[in-house]
Amino acid sequence: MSGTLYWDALHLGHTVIPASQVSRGEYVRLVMNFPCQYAFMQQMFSPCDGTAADAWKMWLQRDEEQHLPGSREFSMSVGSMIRHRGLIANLSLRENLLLPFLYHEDQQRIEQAMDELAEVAGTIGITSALDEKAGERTTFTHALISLGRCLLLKPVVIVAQEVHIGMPPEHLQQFTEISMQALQRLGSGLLYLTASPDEGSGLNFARTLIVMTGTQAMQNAKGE
Amino acid sequence: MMTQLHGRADQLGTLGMHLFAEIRRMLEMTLSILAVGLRMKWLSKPAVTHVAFRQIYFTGVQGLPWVLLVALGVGVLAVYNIVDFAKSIQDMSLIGRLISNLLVQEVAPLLVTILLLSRSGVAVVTELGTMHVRGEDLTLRSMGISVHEYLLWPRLMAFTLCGLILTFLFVFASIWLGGLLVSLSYEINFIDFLVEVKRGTTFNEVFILVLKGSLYPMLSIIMLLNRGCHVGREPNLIPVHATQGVLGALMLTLMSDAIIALTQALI
Repeated sequence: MSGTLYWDALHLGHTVIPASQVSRGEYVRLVMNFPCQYAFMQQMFSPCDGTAADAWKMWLQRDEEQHLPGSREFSMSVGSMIRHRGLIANLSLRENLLLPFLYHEDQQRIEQAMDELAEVAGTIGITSALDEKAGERTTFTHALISLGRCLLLKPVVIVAQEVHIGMPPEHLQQFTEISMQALQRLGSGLLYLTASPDEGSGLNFARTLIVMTGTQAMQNAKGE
Repeated sequence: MMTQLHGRADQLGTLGMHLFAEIRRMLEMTLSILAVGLRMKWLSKPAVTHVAFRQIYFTGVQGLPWVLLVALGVGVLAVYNIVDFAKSIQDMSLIGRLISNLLVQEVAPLLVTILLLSRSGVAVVTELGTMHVRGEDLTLRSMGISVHEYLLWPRLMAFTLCGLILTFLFVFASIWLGGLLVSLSYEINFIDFLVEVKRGTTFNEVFILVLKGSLYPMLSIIMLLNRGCHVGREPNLIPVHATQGVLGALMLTLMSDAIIALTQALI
């Protein structure tokens, strides 16, 4: 399933996040400080109808169709892995994994996702904890659940925000291995938002965009 | 002197502007929640119906024993005093009118709203506030889930619906249980009592009961949702917003009661 995620240049005060795109299978790294990452995500996940002339625009292009944020197609084709933002505390881990399906999809697709759930839970190593209430969890569990959700969704592009930061070394190594396998299996594109080029993901990025506060973005076309 | 006066005027103006902004924000939020809720698409979304059922269970089913307990106490007291008063002035037709005017139209909707506020009000603000502090609103939006539809509409719907149903149950329980207990120890027959109550109740009173029974819980939950959504990222502000939400809801309910009473008097 091909597709490309595009976005316009985003002006945040004197800072400009350049317009760019991520295609399926392509890994792009966007280096900027946390406030800019947060503002970018806020804009990205705000429902957009594309009617306002000056509105910032992000869209997923699939074949001839454009899907805007907030639409079912966009939400089911763009996965997200945000640091320590992978869980809803008052749901069980199972419900957390199935949440996008329970909200967006019909009964048939929900049942299909339920069938795949056992395998995904095994991959990320949470089979025995599936029916536990999420509550307060570590950054590692948040990251695993986000990854599990992406494995179920099979998105065109995954947007990840510093998911590798703040984990103890043994968890970081475990998560890096699981996420690399998962990304290979999915073949999705990846947009990695990070404050530092040494983010610890161990991934081979095709492009790195560095956003400098107050100046124009620099683009490193060589990648890693 | 003039500087002090200007300072006061400035404070008053700021307060007025804040109040206006708050009312506008609440109105906008209410309209967007109602827009997603009344579109009825949520009925086909298991994620939302699950939250709605949980809210109905938490607000309505778990609140029922408390409502019945208070209805029993209030019913016995109200019926005893009303019957006693009617007998003292030898006009039994007053029983129905007083029960309808006091218990049905005034006490029941107000008490049920206060009970709901004290049981679920703080919980609503705290839960929403904690979700905001944890950044769960961003998590939901990253999955394309509307916060209005998934979080706010089920709470608004459950609070309003359960408020109305509990108000009716309160009225029935207080009249029946109160009448039954008073008839055991007093010189009035239970059937005669019910006949008097029926005679004193008109369609107008039932309409007012429906209006107040749904309006007060609805206004309360709108105030609570508004406070819960504006906690921001500071966990220590959750209790402040919870207190403000419950007090604000109470004030809003009392003001609405006064407005309805004034409108009734003018009509």
